[in-house]
Amino acid sequence: MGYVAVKGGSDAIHQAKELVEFYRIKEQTTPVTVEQIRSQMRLAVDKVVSEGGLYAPEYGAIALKQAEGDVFEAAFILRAFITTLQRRYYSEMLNTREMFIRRKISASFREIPGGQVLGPTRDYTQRILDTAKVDETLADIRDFLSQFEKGIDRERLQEVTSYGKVIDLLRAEGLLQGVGNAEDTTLKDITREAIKFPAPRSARLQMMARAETGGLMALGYSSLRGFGNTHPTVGELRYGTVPVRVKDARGRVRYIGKVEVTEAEMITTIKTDKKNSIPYYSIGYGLCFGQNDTKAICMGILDRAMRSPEYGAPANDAEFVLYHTEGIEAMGFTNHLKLPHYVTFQAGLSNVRAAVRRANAIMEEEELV
Amino acid sequence: MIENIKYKKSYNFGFIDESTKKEVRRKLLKAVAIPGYQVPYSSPEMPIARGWGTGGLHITLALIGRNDIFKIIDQGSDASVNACNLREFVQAMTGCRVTYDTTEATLIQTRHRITEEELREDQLFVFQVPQPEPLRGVERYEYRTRQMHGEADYAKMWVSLYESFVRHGDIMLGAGYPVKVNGRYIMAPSPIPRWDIPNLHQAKTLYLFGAGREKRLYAVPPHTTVEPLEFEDVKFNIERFNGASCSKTGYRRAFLDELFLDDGSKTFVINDSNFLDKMEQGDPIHQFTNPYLDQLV
Amino acid sequence: MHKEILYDDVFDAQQHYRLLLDCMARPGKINMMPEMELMMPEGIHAAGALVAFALLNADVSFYVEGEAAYEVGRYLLVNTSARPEASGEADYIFLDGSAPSELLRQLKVGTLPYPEEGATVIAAVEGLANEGEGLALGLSGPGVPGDRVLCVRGVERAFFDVLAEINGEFPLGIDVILTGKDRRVTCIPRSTKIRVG
Repeated sequence: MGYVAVKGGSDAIHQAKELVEFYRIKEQTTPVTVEQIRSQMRLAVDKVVSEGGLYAPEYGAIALKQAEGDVFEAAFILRAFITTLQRRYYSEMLNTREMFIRRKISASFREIPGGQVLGPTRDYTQRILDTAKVDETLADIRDFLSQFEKGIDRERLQEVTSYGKVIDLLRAEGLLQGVGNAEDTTLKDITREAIKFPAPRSARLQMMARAETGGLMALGYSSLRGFGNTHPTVGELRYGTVPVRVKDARGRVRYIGKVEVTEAEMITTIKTDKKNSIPYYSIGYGLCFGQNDTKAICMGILDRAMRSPEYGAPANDAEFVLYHTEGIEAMGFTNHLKLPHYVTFQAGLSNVRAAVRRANAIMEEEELV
Repeated sequence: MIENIKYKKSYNFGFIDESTKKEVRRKLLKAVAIPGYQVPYSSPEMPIARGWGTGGLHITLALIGRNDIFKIIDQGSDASVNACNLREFVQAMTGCRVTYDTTEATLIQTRHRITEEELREDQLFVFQVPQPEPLRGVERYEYRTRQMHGEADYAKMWVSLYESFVRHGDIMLGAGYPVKVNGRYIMAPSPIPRWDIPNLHQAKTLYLFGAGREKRLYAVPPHTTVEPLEFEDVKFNIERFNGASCSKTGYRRAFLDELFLDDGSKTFVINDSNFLDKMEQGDPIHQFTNPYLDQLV
Repeated sequence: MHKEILYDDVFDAQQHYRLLLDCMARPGKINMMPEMELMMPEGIHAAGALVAFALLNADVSFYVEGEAAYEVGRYLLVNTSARPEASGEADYIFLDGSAPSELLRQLKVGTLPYPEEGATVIAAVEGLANEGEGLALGLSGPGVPGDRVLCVRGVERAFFDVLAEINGEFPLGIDVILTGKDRRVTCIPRSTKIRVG
């Protein structure tokens, strides 16, 4: 009999839960620590934290351990965790010009203020499987670190400084389109109210900031390949830490810590028409927690693409982009097909049977004639 | 004094925070005041996956109190695995009593069925809804369907029903048959079978609908007209089981499950698990009545 | 201004809301809020305060009409953190029978795509009953089996005439919660047809 027909649904799910735990640890390998995940699986944690919408790398690491490395599941766990937390403040606006830079590049200019800083990137490495990683020991790690230290020329260290942005240069020259319209200045909080369409830019960017990287990637890619009109240039891509501040009860602004973010400013041009005939540059913006170039870049592409809904491709369609890249909702609903649907199915069966009977009756009539 | 509690383990009564409960409560009042209209709400994430009952849970957890007796069913069954999971969650977060007995419950959450036993004025009935927008099949954009509801412009819906009739000789809608509420809004009743639709009409109970993933709440107050969409000459009808009856009780005036046995043969059993239990034990039952059931031989 | 410390944000709010939901679903049905020691100022009933505590918080706004507007406003602000707002913008409107009926015309009624944005009025009246003295309103529509009589004391009929006119534009409209001195509460949602007198 089916798994519903037998009373004992409770038993079934408890056994399944036991099995999940069994599969997670049956090989009796050394339990991986949350510290190890957080520090050595940094980029997975960054994804979880970004898609969960909660900047808490340690909790992201716990979720990854709990979910056996399933990033969708781990992001979901963090999202549900947010619901239990009290929200006390809105932060002051982050100023990424204050970023303590770890990485800063531009594709639009050969040289930019402060130079092109590659930072920790795999972009220019070869993806050759490194089997030496199998035998890595703590001693190897310490050796690497002491060698690395020796490579730093202490005579040439400079004061930490922040750097001006490429877009500031464009703006100074009068090449950037102004932002003063309602679409760009209306502030929403999509975690407090359901998104309504047409959505202002703040709502679109918020949705994308928590969106699933693969979904954004597919749609951003489609825009570059002809299913869209947006093929921008990287004006600036930054990764680093940014200070976060809040206003306390007495109105004083207080520093509460810093977050790691990746920021992309993609340079595109605005649509021109009779009223606005000057082809000003416009910025497609992307910002997400952690180090995630792909997500920030695709956010920038789609931010721009969604301003041209008339183009008609999926990447230009705000409802399509935003509803379907929401990873937690997408994962939930696609998987909900596994829930029993036999009543729904039964309800349709009688219709289909009747329609087939009607069609057969007509066929028989025609044969007789 | 900033609290530094690492890894807190305790939860607010009902899991969700009081702010969210208030928002759900405010929005439900508006939903009741505008029968059949979908009110947007924040719908925070739950530890249950989207599409698996978060909307129903939001309503239940915003309404439930210490003295409530909670029942939850999925496809008519209390034993269904997802119902079991949700029941455990609600119980863990509220400490409330749970029951399988429809008449004992004060708050019932359901996925895709109304109980066979008639619901009373003092009971609350909460539907889990996958797709709250009845027009989504004929119009994919939210901003357009919202306009259509605002202006009561339902032409596209009627055309699609007509086309279905022309193509197949009948309106080919099974579960989740669209209804018009209070003569104004077309509403998605959630994928309940047509069998249950007439029990929404002029009922004694307040019906509440939660679509968590799509972030919409709506309601059908008691004593409200709920009319399935139909043409003058192509009428709504409920499922027929072609004379089949429950193999365990011989009863035929209930929605039946069709089961395939190991030898390939087919049998029918009453779908509503508590109703089946009561019938088998000879307990008193008080079933919904409506004109469509009366027409059943 | 007095912050109520005996009120339980979790369990009182839930219990009182259930009564209110029952009222909104069954227009004209009168429920009694439970006894509770409150120190609300003149101008708002205990039932009105409990309705406010159940529904209001920092995410919504209110407006108070009447002589005691300042005291009641402070009381609501201190106990719910809701924001005071102009009558044309506020989500929740507190008034009593002395309020000019024309005030209703200033309130939010929502928009066709978002009718729920219409305001909710909490009106403190002298007395509520389903028979006897007062202005007799014949209520029908969703939530009412057939017809229900609601007798209201302490409000001019103009109030309900204007209300019926505004709610004639359904789904746009205003939803009304009436409170009595003796912890009674009842609702008239915009879906209700009102026959005055």
